[in-house]
Amino acid sequence: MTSLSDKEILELHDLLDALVENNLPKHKLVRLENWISDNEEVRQYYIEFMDMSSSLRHYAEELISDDTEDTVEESPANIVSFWKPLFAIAALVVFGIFFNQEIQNFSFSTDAPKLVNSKGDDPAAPLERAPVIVDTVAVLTKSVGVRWEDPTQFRADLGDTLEPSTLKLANGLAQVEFLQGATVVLEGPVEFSLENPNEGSLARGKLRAIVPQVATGFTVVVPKGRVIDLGTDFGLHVHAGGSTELFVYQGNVIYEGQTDSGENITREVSGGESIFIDPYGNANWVEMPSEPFISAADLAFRSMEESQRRHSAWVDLSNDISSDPKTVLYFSFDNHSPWSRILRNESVSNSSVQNGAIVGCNWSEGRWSGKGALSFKRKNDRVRLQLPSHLKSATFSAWLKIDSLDQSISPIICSEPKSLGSVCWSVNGDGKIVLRTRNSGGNTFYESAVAFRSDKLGRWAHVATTYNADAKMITHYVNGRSFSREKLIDPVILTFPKAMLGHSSSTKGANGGVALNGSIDEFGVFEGVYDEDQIRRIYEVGRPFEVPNALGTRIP
Amino acid sequence: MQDRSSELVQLMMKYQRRIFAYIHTLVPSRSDAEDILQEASLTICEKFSGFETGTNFYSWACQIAYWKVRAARKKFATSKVVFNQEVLDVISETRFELEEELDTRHGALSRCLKKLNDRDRRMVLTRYESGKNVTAAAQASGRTIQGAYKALNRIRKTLFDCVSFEISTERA
Repeated sequence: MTSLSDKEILELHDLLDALVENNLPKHKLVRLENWISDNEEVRQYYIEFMDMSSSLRHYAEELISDDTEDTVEESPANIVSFWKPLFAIAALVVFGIFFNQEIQNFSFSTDAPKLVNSKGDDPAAPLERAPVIVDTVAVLTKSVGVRWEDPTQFRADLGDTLEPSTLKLANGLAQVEFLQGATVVLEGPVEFSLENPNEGSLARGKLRAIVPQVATGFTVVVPKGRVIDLGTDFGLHVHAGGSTELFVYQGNVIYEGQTDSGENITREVSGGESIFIDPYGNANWVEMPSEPFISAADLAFRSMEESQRRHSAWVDLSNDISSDPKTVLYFSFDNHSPWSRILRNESVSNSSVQNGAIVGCNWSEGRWSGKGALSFKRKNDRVRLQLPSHLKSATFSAWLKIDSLDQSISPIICSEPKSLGSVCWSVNGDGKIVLRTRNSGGNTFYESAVAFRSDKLGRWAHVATTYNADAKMITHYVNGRSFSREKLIDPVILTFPKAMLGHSSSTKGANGGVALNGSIDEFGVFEGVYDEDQIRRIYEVGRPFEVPNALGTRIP
Repeated sequence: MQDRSSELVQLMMKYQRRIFAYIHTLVPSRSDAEDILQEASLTICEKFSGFETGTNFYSWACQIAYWKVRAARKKFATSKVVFNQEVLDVISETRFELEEELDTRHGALSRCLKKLNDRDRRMVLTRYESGKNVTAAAQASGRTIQGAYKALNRIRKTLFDCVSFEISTERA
């Protein structure tokens, strides 16, 4: 066994400390993972450290049960600490589940506990499908010009649900809506931690909080105390030196803190009043805060300006795509009336006979308000296409929102499967992007890794797949990034007989076909292979810049 | 029948700390590890008729827990604190080799906690109470949150070194 140097031990300890506090950046996790895997001493240190963490939990719970601070002695008779699993067992015993149930033929070996069969199935499978463990506290609902302080650290995207975490903005504005109802506008540079659905802490920078009655009690921890809201609207500014300014726009808040000399401070601050807490914790009344705070209305206005700027950038991109001679088919889904039954092909190099015929689908709202989309819900919903092209290499691109993956296939574009070269591009029931082509020997399926997990359902995502006959490579992209590649076997000329958008008529077990359970609001087929930069541009320019009713769709 | 149910409860009372510790070694997030312990406990209960009295309950239960962790890995795929399967397996195997030493360390930690000053002890134990976070620990010890993170880092290092020292003294 090699011996770790003092420096390495310190590094390892810091990694493990960040790990148990749930704030280890991805690249450091990779470093730790490799280190544990390669070095036995590191592995042992890791296990002893994590075991200590479990033991601390044990002693902490034991202390509560004893209700005395001095008793931290290990005592086998006093194990009420792990009460939750015992309750579960007690409940099962009480209700007779344990002894009345047909127990399946199940037997674990009780030999030395080497973990066997790492590729096999779970012998305890009957109890699978436990609820997903998430600890969401808030949603990021608006962002304008946000630049994250450290790109390697946690960075949230618009619409993301947020678990307890720290947001560090170098610049820009972000609006966070807590699950309990409070809204906070952060003004970069700022460091704000989300603690629970009704509490955050401001280490530095400015925020404005808008707290409805339902979220009364919303708390922001500041360096020398905490601000507890009583249903109001207030601004907070924590300066680099550790002082804090609090200004109440309306309603009342309570400031509770402690000075360095140990004196407890409590102030009730009402609408129009302001206090300044110096770096030593002393609170003084002041006339006005030194700088104004950005309100939700200001942010909404700036957000609207940003939206307009983003929208015109997308219109420019859309025009570029339409006029590109390599664009075979392009649906922008924009500027259609709600009763339109024709989906206009915007590709100028191809004739209007390639317009699509809408069958069944309803028009709905796309990535931003005013943007058109088609939703495919019922099994006959589809857009019939005429696409006589024959393509040696091709690029497929779509903005789509999948609502559920409860069917074996979510078709994006599929053509009649029996003709040589016919194509079906879809997402399968496991959330993988699949390009199916018909070769001389039958169908070939090119599957990506899992792209759609539950967190991507119900949200707009950009997907693209390139079919490169020259390099013999299929590449799948998700949200502008190359996601997985497969070797192209037996290249064929791609064709699209009886193609349909959002529908597949030849799915096994689905009599009459199956429709995408979701919506599409931009779609293109291009001759030749787009590179990653071109695909990323489609994603970057087109990604949603609004989160309509973010909370409404996320709270169960 | 009643004997079997009381046997199960007794075995769980005796071993659940170690079963949790086993899970926590594989799943560093404490709340996720607690949820897996819950799930594993239910399965242990369901499958208990297949357990042969007198054999190694801990090792039997850990195998159930191991499969629960494997199943949960899919759910944690987006989390930043879950190791890949290969690393999970190698950690799990090494942990079983260290069981005896880990038990000794658990006892030594109790003595080391007593050596901490009141403020530090209160803080670290508050941090590890069920449902408490660093903010609670900061408040319990009158520190800022940033200060609390730093102090927790220092206290963990002190405790770890103290435990290692206690064990080496015992062996000497």
